This record gives sequence, C-alpha cells and structure tokens, in this order.
Amino acid sequence: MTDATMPKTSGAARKTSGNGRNLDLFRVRHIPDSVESRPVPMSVTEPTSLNKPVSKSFYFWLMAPAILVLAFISIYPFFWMIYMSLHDVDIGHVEWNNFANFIKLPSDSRFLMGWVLLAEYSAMCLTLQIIIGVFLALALNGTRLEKVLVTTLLMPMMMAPLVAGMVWYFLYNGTFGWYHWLLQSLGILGAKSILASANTAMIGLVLVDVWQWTPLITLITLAGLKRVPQDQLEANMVDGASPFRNFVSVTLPNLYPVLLIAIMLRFMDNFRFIDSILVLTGGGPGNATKILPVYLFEVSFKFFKLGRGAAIALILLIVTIILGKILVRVFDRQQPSKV
Amino acid sequence: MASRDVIQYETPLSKAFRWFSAVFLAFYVVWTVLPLFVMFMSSFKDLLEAFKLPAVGDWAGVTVFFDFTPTTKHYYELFAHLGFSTYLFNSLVAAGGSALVSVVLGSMCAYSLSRIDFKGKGDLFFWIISTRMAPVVAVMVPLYWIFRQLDLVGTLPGLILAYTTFNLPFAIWILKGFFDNVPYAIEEAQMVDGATRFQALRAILPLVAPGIGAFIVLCILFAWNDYLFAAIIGSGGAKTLPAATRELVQPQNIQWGQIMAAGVVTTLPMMFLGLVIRKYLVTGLTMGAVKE
Amino acid sequence: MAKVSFRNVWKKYGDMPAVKDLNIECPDGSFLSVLGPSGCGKSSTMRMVAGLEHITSGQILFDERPINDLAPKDRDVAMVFENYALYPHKSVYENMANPLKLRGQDASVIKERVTAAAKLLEINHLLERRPQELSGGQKQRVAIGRAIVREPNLFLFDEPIAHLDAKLRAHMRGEIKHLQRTLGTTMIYVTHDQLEAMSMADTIAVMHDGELQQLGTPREVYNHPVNAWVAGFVGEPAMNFVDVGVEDRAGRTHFTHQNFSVPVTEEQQRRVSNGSRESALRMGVRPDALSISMTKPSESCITGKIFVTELLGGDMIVDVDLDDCRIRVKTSTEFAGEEGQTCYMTVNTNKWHAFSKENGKAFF
Repeated sequence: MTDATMPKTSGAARKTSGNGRNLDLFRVRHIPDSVESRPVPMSVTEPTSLNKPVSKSFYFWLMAPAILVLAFISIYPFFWMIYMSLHDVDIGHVEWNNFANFIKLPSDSRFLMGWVLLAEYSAMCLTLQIIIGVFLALALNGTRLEKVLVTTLLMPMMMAPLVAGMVWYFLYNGTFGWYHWLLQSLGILGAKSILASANTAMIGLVLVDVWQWTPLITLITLAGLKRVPQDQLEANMVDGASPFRNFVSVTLPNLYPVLLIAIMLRFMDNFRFIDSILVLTGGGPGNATKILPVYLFEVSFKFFKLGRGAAIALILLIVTIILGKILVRVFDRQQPSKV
Repeated sequence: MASRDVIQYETPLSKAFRWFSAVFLAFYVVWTVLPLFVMFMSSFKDLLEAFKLPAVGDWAGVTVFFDFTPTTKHYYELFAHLGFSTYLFNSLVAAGGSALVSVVLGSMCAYSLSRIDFKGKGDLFFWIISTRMAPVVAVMVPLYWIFRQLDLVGTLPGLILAYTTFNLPFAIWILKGFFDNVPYAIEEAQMVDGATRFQALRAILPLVAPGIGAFIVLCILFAWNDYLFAAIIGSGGAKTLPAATRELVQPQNIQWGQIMAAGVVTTLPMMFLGLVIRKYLVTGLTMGAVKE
Repeated sequence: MAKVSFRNVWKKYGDMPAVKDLNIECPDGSFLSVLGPSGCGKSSTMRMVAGLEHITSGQILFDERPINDLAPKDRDVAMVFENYALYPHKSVYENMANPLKLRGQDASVIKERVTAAAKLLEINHLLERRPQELSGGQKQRVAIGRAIVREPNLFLFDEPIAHLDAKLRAHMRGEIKHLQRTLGTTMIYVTHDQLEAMSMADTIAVMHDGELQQLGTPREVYNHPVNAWVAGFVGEPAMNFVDVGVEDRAGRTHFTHQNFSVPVTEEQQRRVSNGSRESALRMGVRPDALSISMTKPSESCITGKIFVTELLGGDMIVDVDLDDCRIRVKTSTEFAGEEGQTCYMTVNTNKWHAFSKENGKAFF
C-alpha cells in the first residue's frame, strides 16, 4: 500500500472537506478510520453484584386510587356476599343458619327452573341474533347505503333497556297495542297478548332482545368482514372458487373469532340485564319467564330475603366468572392471524 | 393503491341473494324504526287517541295512527308537575359523575398497567374485568347491604359509586388498549429530552385524548341507561330518568302519554351521543375486542 | 399455456387513469416482468389479467381469446400474492390443494400433485403445518406451491419476494427463474425492484405513470433505454445525469460543461444532429462507464472534487462534485483518492447516453 491509501488523520487535511459549505455550526471532529481492532474477550465473568433495578413506584402510585376504589366496590362486597349467604339476613337482624340458604337451593324448583329458562332464553336470543345479524351484515357490507342504514340500526342500542321494555309493553298490549293488533290480524295470536300466555311470553321477550341487540351483532360482523383479508378472497377466486364457495371457505373462518366474541358478550349480557324483562313480564305469567337473574331480583328486593339472595347471587357470580375466564381467553386468541 | 373495487361476476345465485337481501334490509329497517316511531308519535297524543286501534284484520284502518291533534301536554306535565327536571338533573350528575371518576382513575391505572409488568398482573387484570362482567343483580345484593349501613342508599354519591362498579373496570380495560397502542418510544424520547415521568405521561395524553373523550361518553351512556341500580340504590332521593319512568306505571292508571314522553326525553340525548362517538361504538360495546 | 396480449388496455379509477393504453404481447412460455415504481399501474395491470379488477377499456386476450368478461375462476390463471394470501385456518397441504379441490379433482390426483409440487419446492416436510408456523421464505414457497399444483394458462406473480430479506431474495430469484424454465409456463411477474426484473425476465415492460415506457429484453432496457426515465430507473447505482451544452468544434460535436468538454463519436453525432436542434441536452452516463484517476489522463476528461468515498467491499463508489451537480463513479477498491481532492474522470463514449431536455427521449 502506498502512503496515499493510508487515511490521514490530521485535521489539516480534512479542513478542506465539506466543499466550502458552511460547517461552522457543527464542529467536525474526525475519528481515525483505522481503529485498532479490539480483541474478542475469551471469557465472560459473571457480575459480582447487581445494580438496583429501576423503580416502578411511580406506576404503582398511579394505579393505587383505581385499585382501592375497585376493591371497595368489588372485593369488600364479595366478602359480604359470602357472609350474607351464610346467614338469615333481615333489616336489623342477622343470624347464622348453618348453610340453610345453600341447602335449600337444590330443592327450590324456581331456582332450578331459573337456570333452565335462562338457558332457553339465551339460546333463542343468540340463535336469532346471530342468524339475522350476520345476514344483515352481509347484505349491508359494501353497499352504498351502508353508513346510513347502520346508523339507523344503531338507534335501539342507545335506548335504555327499561324504556325499550316500556315501549314494547305498549306495543304488545292486548287492547291497544299495535303489534298485538298486527299479530292478531295476521292470525298468529288470539285475543290474549303475547305476554299474557305462558306459552308465548318468552317469545315476546326474545323479540325485544332481538330488536334491541341484533344490530350489535351486525356491527361486530361488519367490523369482522372489513378485516377479512382481501388477498385471501382474491387468491381463492383465482384458485377457482365461486362467490358462495369463497364465503364458506375464506370469509366464514375469518369471521369465526369475532362471532365467538359476539356470542359470548351477548350471552353474558343476558345474565347481566333484566331491565326489560322486569317491565314486560316481571317473570310471569306464573313463572314462565322467571329466568334466574329475575328470580334473584325477586328474592332479594321484593321479598328482601337478602341471605338467600346472596347465596343465589354467589352461585350466579361464580358461573359468570367461569364464563368470563373463557371469554378473556377467546379475546386473547382472537387477534387476527396475519399470514 | 387506488380503491380496490373487486368486481362481482353475476351468477343466478348472487343475483337472488342481492334481491333477497334488499327486501330483507327494507323489512328490517322498518322493524327497527317502528317502535321508536310509535314512541315518538304517542308522546304527542292524547290518551284516548293513543289507544285508537282499527278492528282486527282491518288493514285500511291503519291510518287511525295518524289521526290525532298533536299536544305537548305530556312533556309539560313531566317537567311542571312530576319533577322530571330533578330526575334529569340526577341522571346527569350520576352518569356524568361516575363517567368522570371512572375515566380519570381508570386512565391512570390503565396507563400503568400498559407500561409495567409485575407478578400477578394477569390475575389483577382478570379481577378488574370480571368485576365488569358480573351480573348487576348479583353485585347489588351485598352492595345494597353495605350502602344501607353507610347511608348511601338514595343519595347521588351512592349512585355514582354504584355506577363506578361497572364503569371503572370498563374504562381500565378499554383505555389500557389505547395506551398499548401508543409507542413507549415517545415517552422515552421525552425523558431523554429531559422530561420527568409525569411530564412524559402528559406528553402522550393528547394522543389518547380522542379515545378518552369517547369513553367518557360511553360511560355516561351505560350509567344513564341503567335501571336496576337506580331503582334499588338510588330509590328515594336519587331517582334517575329510567327509574322515574318506571314509576309512571301505576296499577289501574298507566299514564302512557307521559311514559312515552319520558322515553323520548331519556332516549334522544343518548341517540345523539351515540352518533357523536359512532367511531368508537363497536370498540366500546365489545370491550375493545373488536375494532372498526 | 398461453400467449397473452394486451390491446389498448385502460384502467381508470373514477377519472383517475391508472393504466393508459397498454399494448403488450407476451409470447407463450415467456417470462414477462412488469417493472415500475409503486403507483405506476403495474399491479392494476396484473389484477386485470387475474380478473380481480374490471378492464375499463380495451382487451386482454389469452391465445387471441378475449377474457374481459370471464370470472377469475374461469381464466385458469395461478397467482402468487405479495402477502402470500395463505389461508391461515388451513394446513400447508390444504392450502396447496385448494385450487385442485375447487376444480373437483380426485383426492388421489390432488395428493400426487401436491406432493410433487412440495418436493419441487423442498417443502414436503412442512405439509402438516399451519401458515403461522412458517418463516417468510417458507410461506412464500407455499404460495408458489399453490400456484404450480395445476397447469394453468399463466402464472401471475405480484411482488412475491418483496417481503423477504436480501439474502433469501437473491436465492429465490434464481429459484423462480429456474422454476419457470422447468415448467415452461408463461409468467407475468410484477416488481418494483429493477434487479429482480433484470435478472429473471425474458422481456421487461417498464411502466411509469400508467404508461408503458419501454418493452424489451433486459439487455436492451439496460443498454439502450428509450428515455431518461427508464435510464434513471434501471441500474444500481443509478445513472448520472449532467446537463451539457452542445458545441461544434472542428466539425465534431462536443458535449460541454464547466468541468469538461468531450467529443462524441461519429454515429452519435449523426443521431444528435438528426434528432434535434437543441443547443443543450442531458447527458447520461452509468457509474461503471466512468473511470476515475488522480492524475489527468487527457484533455477530454471531467474534472471534479471528491465528496465522499463509499467502500462496498468488492467495489468502491466515489461521489464527485462537479460545479453544478454531483456524480457517482464506480471504481476498484484500490482507488486512493481523499475527500476534497481534485480527481479526473474519463467517459467510455461507447456507453454513454444523450437525452432530450424537452421530452427525455434518448438520442443514443
């Protein structure tokens, strides 16, 4: 190598670089190109002491208020719930009763019936909502009117379930309800209101739930449809699939996770909300629509058997928590599998 | 790339589907709007006019529905004599208060949960979310008992606290998702530039502000529409609109005109808010599991 | 296998033309690469062939048969997508079997063909896996596998290796080219990477702003670009452009610049004087058509000042400042220039180009 190949490291030779542009702003310091290569360490010695880890206390202080409030309104009541479920609780009178609240439950036909009716109610609501909701989404997806129509469909969801129940109670009324008139005129019903007969009351409730919440399924499905990877649909088309085939083999599998979420959410809401049922039938006629949460409401706040209510509530809560555990697992897994 | 208009190649099947879905859509829109329409119209009808119905099978008689002289007397009645202005105020305070408490505490907690890892975080998180999923009736049994002892039954603070049982976990859960989407690098850059942790947090707030705003609205919506807590915890001194509406149903004397008017008063503001936060609605109603 | 022809094909999105008046003939069994930057209309072109997009005007023909109104499934093409578009809920085997299954093949035939294709692509040990368990390169092979299990009219590859890392990309280039030669199926390959197009295609169609710029073999496109745009797009490092004056000195045309004055060859002189009366044009010269030295080799050389040198391992790129622009020169690693020093470059006049300043058209 000649002398010229060795980079000069003196500042003087470099001063001319930059082509006369003003470099005053930045002080240019040159680092020699030929740094002696560093030897690779042959052995690594374990550290003899560890440094103090970064403190997380800032974050814990931020979390504290919310956790405390939540503890007060959820854990504290939970222990009370256990305590109450083991006692006879009346206003101003609490007495241990040797698990009587729980022991009586298996022989309480309304308690058992409550579960059956809850299952029946949920099954009917979900089946109808999924079928109608998904179909609506498919019919709406990509059409010109999509935005307007979706906004229209949203309206029932914004309504307080209680108000919805009131309006439907009015519509179902046997003497002046318009829907009753319609059902009668179509020959589906007799003079008795749909809510007044034990055979049909449940259907009446399901219709209200379908009316109010099917749009949620539609909305979720639409969001899912937008996420179906376009290129998979296209690839399948090029592979030779018909539109129907494409739907079955690409769209549906991609939709499956969001539908699962939708089902779980609605299912749990059927446990959670009983506002419209309280208005429409209050569990009647007889006990025909006394799904478990309604029964629980009646026991606790109509008869004020708070101890018994707490026992039922505890069981209901445990079942919900198990369902919730499943739901959270579904949430975690549903992240769209991108290929 | 420009908008991808995937072309549809018409087949008899797809044609049939299109027709069927158009008809179905039309039918469904009517079915959705009809109850709302009836509610709205009936709130302007005199009691007897609201009960007018054609004979069974008399399809042409449907026009009696429109045969009335509009009156605003039910609305007047609600606010002048039935104290609905108080209930409206209660609703506003209870819903707004719980939304505010939930979102302020919730975003602090969500931010921390999003930024650090610690043992038992998963369990803590599950506890938070199960609080939200718990059936309202079940939660209410012990809560009613506790609130009675603390003299919180029938008070607005009590109601706010009650609504916080579902709004706070909801806010934490959703907002954590929001903070997860803000790259930590932004705060790191802030801190390298000389900000304290707290200033760094403030720096990313504008990024999540639209989401936080939307979820204040959603929390208001959930609380506003609640009936069970309002009926039990709020009964007496803190009656909200749904609870007051329910009380218009009296044996032998159901004031349908007033009920419908109260329904309109309860529903309209929420429909409006729903439209405002339309973009976040799906995320909110699915607990953040589905995003649009 | 088929010949593909584009006849006056237009694609418009609303009023926005994405492809303008495209005319290409792609002979049976050949490898056509459609090359251009993003947004040049190359993907729209391919999607029109696949039937995923409507052809606004004009015709696309397979073996002289117009296919404008056929659904994708009736066109008998196979396509590899940029993001692979594998079905995540199906195994590799099912992914590859999909096109055969949709065409109602027997299970035994499907098995045979999928196995054969998997063997060819060396993915036969992955057949039971799901796409998310595969690496990028493996997914890409599965996507190709799905395309070759049948014997389609035509392969459409839409930037299939754009998402792979550099080393794997180089490897797959060779594989895809070999595959096409082995199967002998007509292939249209869309890419924005000129290196891919150059190294694989029989014919390159260079597109820009929806217009076909040049259609030719890789050699033609590289050595004789029809305009300044193509010249600038093809080749790495990119061609240097210098605005020069045109002057007559002793009967010979010279390209003149503050830093140099270089005579053109006789043939080139004829072309320039036939072509225009412009007194200034744009000279284009590739970095490897320049030789650089620290001593002045002759009078007709370019004088400049070294801005920076970049060592690329086997080669060295020297950025040289002229008075009004900067050019890049490719040289050997032996080159000993220092930043800021004056250097001299000689142009290989057999390998330079001249373009009109007005419309970019090449004179030579």
